[in-house]
Amino acid sequence: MRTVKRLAVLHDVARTVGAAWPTRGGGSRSGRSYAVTLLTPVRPESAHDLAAHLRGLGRGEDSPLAKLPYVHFARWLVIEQLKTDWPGAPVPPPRLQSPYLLFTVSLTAPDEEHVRRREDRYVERLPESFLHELRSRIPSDVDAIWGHCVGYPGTGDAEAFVHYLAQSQIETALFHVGYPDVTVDEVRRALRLREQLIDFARDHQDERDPSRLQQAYLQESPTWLPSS
Amino acid sequence: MSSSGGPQGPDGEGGTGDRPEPGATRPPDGRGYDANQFGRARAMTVFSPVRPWYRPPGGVLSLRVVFTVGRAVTGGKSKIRQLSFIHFARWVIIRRFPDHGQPRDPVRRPLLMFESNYNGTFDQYIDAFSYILTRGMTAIWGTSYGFPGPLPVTPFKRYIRGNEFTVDHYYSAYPAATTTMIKSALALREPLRAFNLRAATLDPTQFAAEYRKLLTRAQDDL
Repeated sequence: MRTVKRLAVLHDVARTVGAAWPTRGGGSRSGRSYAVTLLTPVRPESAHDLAAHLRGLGRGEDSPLAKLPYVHFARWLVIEQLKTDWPGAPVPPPRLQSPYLLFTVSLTAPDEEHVRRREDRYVERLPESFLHELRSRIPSDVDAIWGHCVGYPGTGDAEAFVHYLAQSQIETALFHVGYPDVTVDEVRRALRLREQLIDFARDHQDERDPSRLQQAYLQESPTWLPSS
Repeated sequence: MSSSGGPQGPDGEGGTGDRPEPGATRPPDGRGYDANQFGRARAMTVFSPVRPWYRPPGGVLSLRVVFTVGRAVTGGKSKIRQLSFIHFARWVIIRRFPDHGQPRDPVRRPLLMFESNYNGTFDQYIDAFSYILTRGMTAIWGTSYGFPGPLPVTPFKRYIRGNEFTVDHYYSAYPAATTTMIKSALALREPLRAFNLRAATLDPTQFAAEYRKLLTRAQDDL
């Protein structure tokens, strides 16, 4: 009887610990924000060409990533070998057999409360929804980059493409989001509005008459409200 | 190569995109700019090998517990939230490399990957991490080989530098903005909307008083 009770207690403990344990994919998502972390093996002879290609891409608005509306931050990095030239590094030092391409993205999906079926929402279909978007919005850039990787099927076959990159996703253990559930578009509009208010203040800083100040504000502020 | 990034400096305004600010990380690969920076945004990418579970403080097992607690502690109570210069950050435990038919890469020692998108300089960033998240840093990187502890800060900076990678392409959707500017702008939306609705109905003196209040709020971070 005592053994049965002990087993029951152990079972309860295991269930409690299991419930708190991070499940697959759980840590990559925080609200409507998501951390994409892809690691794909690069053909050794292509590593330098790939790195050169990535370094030659346009920056900012000229980056192919600027065509992806939900992406706040992203990076590409070719890892040719791990760094072990520091005190206390393990012996023997860990060595990679292949170079790897790291691609990370921090994105926030739009609020899709209006989409009735939960499973149809962009955020619920991540990372696949984002991978489909990569394929449809910047296919030639994607092919020019992942074309250097081992086993890459190309963007021609949507299912194979998404499967390849989804298999390359490494789940995040802890994801910090500085401004939760705010999309890129919302950040940009908020910044623009704040800038417009500050510009107005700068233009009218010498105005001492409250009545004239109010008049100017009522005249100008409607022109910046559409971006609010 | 475009240089359409935003102004420079941790929180100031003015300047152009790709020019590094004083104290910025120098490019190790001969590029004419710091590839870990675009506008005010900076990228940090660090990989460190994790000790086995039987070596204190417990390898990946210990990391899992730390991250589970980290995920449970969110909102204002989270210490990382106090570090107001971080846009997005993540910790990833790599226990296997995705298999696409390349030569097998057995991961004898799991890797801990840390990535951050922040504004300010590398030194400011590590200083704040070390002094504010002292215990958190020890709990996380204490499982990695060679971690000297977050304090004193110089060996810790050397450790991070030793494990840090320079990115090949970095993208920010709003390179001119710091996290403080963004949070301030987001917080301004509602009061400004409410003010605009009432602006026409206020008498001029009331209007001027409320306008000044609003402006103070908008300029908090300037």
